[in-house]
Order: sequence, then C-alpha cells, then structure tokens
Amino acid sequence: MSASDQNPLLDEFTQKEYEFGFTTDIESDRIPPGLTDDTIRLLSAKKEEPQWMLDWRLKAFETWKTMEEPVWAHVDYTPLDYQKICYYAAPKSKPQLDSLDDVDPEMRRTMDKLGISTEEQKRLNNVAVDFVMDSVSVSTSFKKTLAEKGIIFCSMGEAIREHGKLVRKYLGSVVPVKDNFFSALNSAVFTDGSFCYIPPGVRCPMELSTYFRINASGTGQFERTLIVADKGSYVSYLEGCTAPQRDENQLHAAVVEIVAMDESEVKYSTVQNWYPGDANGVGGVYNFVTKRGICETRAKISWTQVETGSAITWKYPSCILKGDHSIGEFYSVAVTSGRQQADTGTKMIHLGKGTHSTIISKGISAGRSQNSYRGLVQMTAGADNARNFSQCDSLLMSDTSGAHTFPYIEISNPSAKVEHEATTSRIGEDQMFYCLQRGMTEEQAIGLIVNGYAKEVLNKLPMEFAVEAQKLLAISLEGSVG
Amino acid sequence: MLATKEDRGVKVAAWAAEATGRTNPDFAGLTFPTSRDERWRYTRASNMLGRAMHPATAPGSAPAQRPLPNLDAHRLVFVDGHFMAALSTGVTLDGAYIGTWGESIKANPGLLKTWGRGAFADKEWFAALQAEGSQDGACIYVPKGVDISSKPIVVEHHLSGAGIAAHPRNIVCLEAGAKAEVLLWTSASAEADGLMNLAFDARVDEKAELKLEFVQDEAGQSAHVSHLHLTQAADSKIEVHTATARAHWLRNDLHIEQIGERANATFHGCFAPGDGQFTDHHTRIDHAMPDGTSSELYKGLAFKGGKAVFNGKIKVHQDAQRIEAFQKNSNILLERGATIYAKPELEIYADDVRCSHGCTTGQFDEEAVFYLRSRGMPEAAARRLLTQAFMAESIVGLRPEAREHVEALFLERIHA
Amino acid sequence: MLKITNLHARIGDTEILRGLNLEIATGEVHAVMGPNGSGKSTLASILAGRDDYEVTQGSIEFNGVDLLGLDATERAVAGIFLAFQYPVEIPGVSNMNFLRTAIGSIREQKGQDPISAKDFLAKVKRCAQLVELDGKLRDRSVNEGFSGGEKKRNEIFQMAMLEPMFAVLDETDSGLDIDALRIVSAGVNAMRDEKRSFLVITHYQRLLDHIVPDRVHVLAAGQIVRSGGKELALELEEKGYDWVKEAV
Repeated sequence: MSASDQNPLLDEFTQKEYEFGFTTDIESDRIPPGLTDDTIRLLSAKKEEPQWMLDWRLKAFETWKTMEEPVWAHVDYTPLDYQKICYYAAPKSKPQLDSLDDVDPEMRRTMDKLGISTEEQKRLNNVAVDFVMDSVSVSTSFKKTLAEKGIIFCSMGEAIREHGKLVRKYLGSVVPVKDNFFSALNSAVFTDGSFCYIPPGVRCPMELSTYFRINASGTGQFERTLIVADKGSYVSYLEGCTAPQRDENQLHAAVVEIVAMDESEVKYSTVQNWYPGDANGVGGVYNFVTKRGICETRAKISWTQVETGSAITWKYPSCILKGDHSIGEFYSVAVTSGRQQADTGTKMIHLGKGTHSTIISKGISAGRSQNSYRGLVQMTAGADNARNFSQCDSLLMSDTSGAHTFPYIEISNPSAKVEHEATTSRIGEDQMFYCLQRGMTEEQAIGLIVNGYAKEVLNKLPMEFAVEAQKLLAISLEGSVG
Repeated sequence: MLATKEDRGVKVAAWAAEATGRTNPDFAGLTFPTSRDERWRYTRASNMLGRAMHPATAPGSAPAQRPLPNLDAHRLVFVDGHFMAALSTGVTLDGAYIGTWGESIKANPGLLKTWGRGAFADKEWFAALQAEGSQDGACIYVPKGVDISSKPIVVEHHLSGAGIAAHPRNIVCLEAGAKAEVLLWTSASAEADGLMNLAFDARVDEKAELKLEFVQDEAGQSAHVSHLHLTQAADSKIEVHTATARAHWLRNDLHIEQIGERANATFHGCFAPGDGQFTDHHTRIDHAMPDGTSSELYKGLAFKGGKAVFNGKIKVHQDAQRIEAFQKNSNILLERGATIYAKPELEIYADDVRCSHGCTTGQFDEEAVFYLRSRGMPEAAARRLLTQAFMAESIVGLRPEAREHVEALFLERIHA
Repeated sequence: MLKITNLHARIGDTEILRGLNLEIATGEVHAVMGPNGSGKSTLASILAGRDDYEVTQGSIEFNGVDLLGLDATERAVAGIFLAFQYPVEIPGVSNMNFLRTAIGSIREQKGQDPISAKDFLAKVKRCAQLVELDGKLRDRSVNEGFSGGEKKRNEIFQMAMLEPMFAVLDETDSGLDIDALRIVSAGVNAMRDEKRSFLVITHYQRLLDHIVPDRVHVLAAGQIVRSGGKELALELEEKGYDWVKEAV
C-alpha cells in the first residue's frame, strides 16, 4: 500500500502549490538559446567585460567541451540539452542602480512577494542585499556603509569592471575551471553573482545577503560568487533562492568560491528553495552547484544550508583546510518531498596540521523523494592531529521515499582521528502520540518534531534566516506523514 | 604514455585467456575494473595484469603445516584448484553430503544449471573470470532438518607455487532447518605470486543455520579475489567471520541477501595490512523482506606501507519494514605511511527501520598506553595488549583454535 | 464525567480488557490498582486515544460525548490529559516551545484567542513552582536527559499548564524517590477541585498516602474485580494481589 492510500494529507501536500511560483512580468533582454564561442562573446560584450575575462571564458568553454556530465550521484534525470538553454536574460529595464529606490517597482514587488522584502531587510538593518534576478544583479544595498570600512560588496559584473585585479587574482583559484563539468560550464557562461572583499582585520558589521531568482523561462542561471576574506577579517554571508513554477526544467549551475586568509572567518548560509517541480515530477530546477572554500592558517569557514527546493540537487559545499589549525564546518538540513532528488554533502580536505572539521547533516525524506548524503573526509599524510566528527541522520516520513548515506573516509595520517556516525529512522510514533495527546494537530506535531530534529543546524543560521527556515521546513512537510 | 582503451582491452583479454586457460573467456560485456568504477575507486586491479599466471594442470604439493591439525573436523583439501582425495575425508552422513563440486556435477549435471555461473558473474569482471576459469571446490549439501554442526567442515584451498592461478568454486546448500559449520581456509606458499580467485555460494533455507569462518592466511606475493554470496530464507541465521590474517593483495566481496522474513545475519571481519600489502573488504547486505536483522563489525589495523579499504553497504528494500541493521567499522593507523579508506553506506527505501553505521579511524589511546606502562609494562607489550583488545571483538566468533592462529599473526607484526 | 461500559480491547491477537466498567463523577479522584499485566496502562492509553489498541466492544462516554469517536488531538482539546508512564524525549524541542505550541493549538481549536506572551510566562512561572521545576529544565528539550523524577515532575507541570478536566496519571509514582513523590503529589493535590477529575493508576499503595482517592478499584485480568474506599488500597498492600486473583 502506498503512503498516499494511507494518508489523505499526503495527497493534499503533494498537490500543494509552490508558494513562490509566480513569474514577474518584466521585459527581459535575452539572447537566443544555444552555446557557441559567439554566445560567449556576445554575453561578455553585453556585460562590457575586459578582454582577459572573455579569454578566460573562451578557454573554460574549450575545457567544458572535452568533459562529460557526471553520473555517479544517486539521482536520475533526463540529460539536459545544453543547446536549448538561454544563457543570458537580463531584465530589460535595467539601469545603473545606486540605491534600492531605483529598482523597478515590479521587481520590488517580486522581492516583497518572496517574503524577503528589501524594505524589511533594511528595517532589520543589518543586512546588505544583492539581488540577482535571472542573470544580472539588480541592486546592492548599503554600499556606502560598507565602503566606509573598505568592504567591497557588489555584483560580479561590476567587480570585473571595477576591481579587475582582485577578481583576476582569485577567480578560479578555489574551484578550478576543470574541477567538474558544471564548474567548467559556469566558468564559460556565468552571467552575474556577488563579489565580496573584506579588508584585513575588518569585521563586517552586517550580514551580507544575495537573493537569486530565475525568472525568464528557458533560462539557465549561472551565477558566480567570490568571497575574499583578508587576514583576520570576519563576514557572514547569506544566500537565498527561489524560482517560478514552470513546466520545463531550469538549470542552475552556480560556483561559489571562498578565500579565507589567515585567521579570518567566513560564515556562509544558504536557504535554498528553488521550485521543486510538481507532484508528478514535472518541471523544477536542476541545482548543480559547486561551492568550495580554502582556509589558510587558523582560518575558519562554516557552511550552513537548509535545502528544501529544486527537483534535483547536486551540491557539496567543501573546505580545503590548507593552513595549520584551520577549521571547516558543514551544517545541513535537506528536505525532499514529492519527487525531489537530492545528493548533497560536503568534502573536508585536511592538509594542515591540527585542522578540525565538523559535519552535521540532517536529511528528511517524504513523498516519493530520494535524499542522499555524500561526503568526503580526507586526512592527508601531513594532517597531523587533525580531527573530524561527522553525524549524518536521516528521517523517513513515508514508505515510498529513500534515505541514503555515502560517506568516503580517507585517512593517511596515524595521528588523525575521524568519527563518523549515521542513523536512519522514521519519525517516532511515540513522539507523535505525545504531541497529539497534548492537543497538537498532526501537522503541528510534525513541524515541531522535525524542527527539533534539525535544531542543531537551524541554530547555526543568523536569526532572521532561522525563522524563515523553520517556517519553510514546516511548509515543506505539511501532511507528509506516510 | 597512456595506453589507449583499445590497447588496454587487448592486453586484458590476453591476460584473462592465460589466467583461465581458455582461448576466449566470456565476460558478458563487463569491462576490466578501473578506479572510475565506484566499487573499485580505491583498488588498483591493474596490479593483476603484470602477473603472468595460468591454471595448474596438476596440483603442486600441499603445505607441510596444515591448518588446525588438532581440530576434529571433516576435511576437504584443494591445491591449485585440484581436489586432494588422500588428504580429505569427504563423507555422506545422515543424508548430508560433504564432497566436491567436481564429483557432484558429474553425478548430477543438473546442479550446474541450478547454480549457474554464480551471482556475481554478470556484475563483476573478476567473478566472470572465476566463472570462466572455474575449478574444483567443496560441495556441501545438508538435507531438511539435519544438523551436522557438531563437527565442522574445514575446506582448505592452497596455492602451491609461482605463476599459478586457481579458481576454486564452492557450493553450500542447507535445506530447511539444517545446520552446519564451515571453516574456509586459504593459504599460499612463499613462492606463490599468482591469483586465488575463489567463489563461495551458499543457499540457506528456512530456519537453517550456517556458520562460516573464513581465514585467509596467504604467505608470498599472490593476489586473492573472493566472491562470497549467501542467500537466506525466512527465519534462517547466518554468521560469517572473516579474518584476513595475511594477504599481499586482496579483494573480498561478501554479499548476503535476505530473501525471507525474519532472517538474521551477523558478519564480522578484520584485516591488518603491513608494508606493501593491500586489503579490500567490500560487504553488502540486502534486506529484501521485512523483520530482518543484521549486525556487522569490521576492524582494521594498518601498518607502515599498508593500505586497507572497507566498504560496507546496507540496503533496505522498499516494503522491507521493521529492519534493524547495524554496522560498525573501527580502524587504527599504527604508523605513518599507512592508509585506510572507509566507505560505510546506507541505502534505505523503507521507512519503519532502525539502521545505523558508525565508523571511526584513529590511534590507540595514548592514555591507555601510558596507564599500562605506569603499571610496569614495557611499551611494546602495552601496544600488543591494546592491539589484542582492539581486535578481540572482531574475531571472537572464530573457534578458539582459529582465533589463536589469527591473533598470533597480527601480534607478530606488532612485534616487528 | 467519565463512564466506561463493558470495555473490551485488544492489541494484536491478545485481549487485554475484558468487559471493564468504571464511572468517575466530576471532582472525584479514583485510583485503579492491579498486578502487572492486568491492563492498567492499556486503559490509560485507550482513554488518551492511542491507535495501537483495538476496542472491540463497549463504550466510553466523556461528558456526554462518545470518546471513542475522537482522535488523540480532539480528546486533548476536550480536556483529557495523560501523564505518561514513560514520557517521550523530543530532541531539539524546548519544553517552552512544546507547551506554547500545545496551548496555542488547543486554544485555536476551541476558537479562543491566542495566549499572550506575558500571560504564558506568568503561567509557566506559577506552574513550575508547583512542582519545583527549575528554569533550566524548562528551557531544555522535552524530557531529554531528564532523570526519572524530573520527567514525572515535567508531566505534572504540563498538566498544570494545560488545565485539563480529566487527568489520567499512569504509574506516575514508578521510579520516584520519596522527595519526588512528595513534590509530584503536592502538584496533583493543588490541582484538585470540584470541577476536575483524576484517574490515578498505580501498582503501589504509597502514592495513595499522598494523593488520597475517593474510590479505589482493583483491575485484574482486564476487569474491575473490586471497588471500595481508600481503605481497599491498604487491604491490598497487606494481602497482596494474589488475594485478589484468588477472589477472581
């Protein structure tokens, strides 16, 4: 018997509409689908890029053409036709914007509808927002406040034009072009994204935030984010994503690079809520993302992610712990329902002495979804006294979903210590009954228990995000007890 | 200069023909494993291609020192894939048959059809190689309700010298309610540099119980690849205790399939590669029916220059509810220059389950070493004691005679 | 308030309750005692609406409503509270969050306005004092890492917060030391009034020294085999359950 026979709530849930599935009625300036040298030249020209950038892209394109799409992940999908994707779609009415007030009113409404209204963000005061719609960055707030501290926070396009030296130095230094199929593709065609530089010793006084949104149909979104935290600096960076409801699969292939110099700290938080497709698995975003940071001596990178969206997620935010005593952390909650497939986790590469890493992964599978944790912990020969602790838990909410754990543990140093634990279980009937006996409805009970289960990770999110993420978890799992 | 795919294919085909003694071995479309195959990610099978070997037309000599000479057991001895009748004690008792696969298929050719080429042969290249080169091995059949577990059956497979490839095939069939204990023992002479490519297929019917001890004690430079496949029906019980005491280059595949309800499986293993040695244990349990249980424990030591792989997969199929499956893998790297790759996997498609795995890699607790020394124990003795303590849990299921033998081999390495 | 008539129930193929009759008037405290396996905890679970048990015969009327027609949530909203014998741990969910959610849900289902944060906190303070539950326990995850005594005190704390009409205490005394027993009993006694009824399920008489019942019933083999005043508990303590079994 399937879960849906047992529980009418499940049907209700699987037919629940994607909350952010609206499109924004903005004229977009797009180039015809397809990918050739000329597409890249056109794209680069539209973005008024310097020659070195174009050359870099063309080289990446050559590399990409020699690569094959990876098949090892525990996901199943119809391969994409890369010639049918539109590689550039900018909102047409895009002016050069100096403040949020200049943003197109329609776009402003979109932001409002996302529940992450810039107004509100401004009121919350400590968040500077870069808003990337389809392919280009439309607004960056708080620029002035940040500039006073020497912090650069702008769109990647602008950074390439205005801060070419910095970008050129670090772009591709953490995620090389040929790292994987999608990073090569991104390197060739990335359209925009955010760039952030924190000068030595500066503690960024507010959260920096980027919201990504795919709007035009048939577009791919290939954003590129580069964060450079100079010696002894600190920054907390937030990333949110949504996409409208569409029948065709949309591709999102982003690359995020973080350079954490000596004694710096970078917190990178993501709440990913791309459109997951409908109950039958039609549509939804393919989220193939490469995120990686490199830690110099005593630096720390902390990845926190709450993944509830996308039809397919393929994502492993990683840390290269190069410097001695550097620290890498990965906290993840991944919820899949309907027919979503997620293959996500992290890589902790310990190169330096006394390096530490922590991995906490909480998977929740409902409906007919498949949810996999895949993670690598590598202790190289030089990683004396390195430590890793990993805890990967899976919670199953239906008898038609799957929860999988694929850790890779590679140890070549006798003083390194690695502990990995994983458990898989179903939501506790006893816990449910206890909650119901206290007067809660089934949905409240599930929301409560799941949020408790994910608490360790949610606690790592900045306050405003944590509230949003909790709501999202509860919504994603409405009526999904099987 | 890298060899092209075609060059490599030709080389592999030539090697395989020689190793099986067949002109055109059939690999059913399988290709020689490379590190691009997930199941061979850490294992360089190409190690094999540099070895010149062929099946022996006649057996060499059996080892002077036979395993567990004082153990009261039925014995089936094979050298280089050939049955050694004079050293063996094959019998029929209470309707049970303890004999050879070769004799069995002569008497009943239908068996070949029943057992086919083995469960791995269409999945793993080396299993296909085994099927193509298949030689003699044990055949144990225990009819319904018969219990012959009071006297173990020792099955010895020995590789006698240089340049030899052996492909012994072993079959065990326990009918409903039957019970048996089998001790599979592989050994190799110091000159051996070929390949022991062993298959072991077992069918354990309802309420039957099989205990399998598998000791691998291979001196010399030979390679070892084994394919163990066990299926168990409702209410049956399987125990497998694998001890890789000595091996130069080894790959074990252990696959247990629970095809009946309430089946119970316990499988333990241990390994301790030293300089230039490589061991790879791949285990997999399929819980295909409800209410099954499994408990897995593998422990590893790695010495300087040693490399070990542990890959354990627990798969719970859809509708296989109320499964309890536990897996634990603990490893210790004793010295620099040692490497351990661990990949514990859970693949779960049913919701009402309790499954977990734990994997740790580290070193001896230095506090414990210090504690023992402060009680007057020399450091080497302290480390030996801790090694013993660490490995004990994984070999406790071996019968005492086998356990002592395995333990002695581990401790010898510590001493050095 | 509560009327159980000829209740038969089973779990799987095992019949546990075999024609149980029990009536509890408003404002009364009844105790049900009985040997292990007599069906005491089954009765508690059935009253709270646990799905594992199948009621095959009989009825339960609660303030004129057919209780068996309500699910667990609806029963809680109707005012039934079960203090669990083995309170469940819910990692990551703070006691406060748990109670706020529960109270919010009950009020919403009753069509009442949500409780204000101020009132909620005041109530928490008052109720916590009742069972001497300190602030740390209030902020910890529900029952996680609590000692046996702390769990039971937490149950009574929740009861005080939810103000049920009818509370079932399922072996609340098990695993309690003498101090905890005193605290828990004091908490229950403080909640006794003419509008609220209690069903105290216990194996031992000693709890009834602290929570003095109006009526005592002996449950054996799925039926009430004897009923009497509080002195019946003493008689049981003296003669043991074998005496009752013989009587059956």
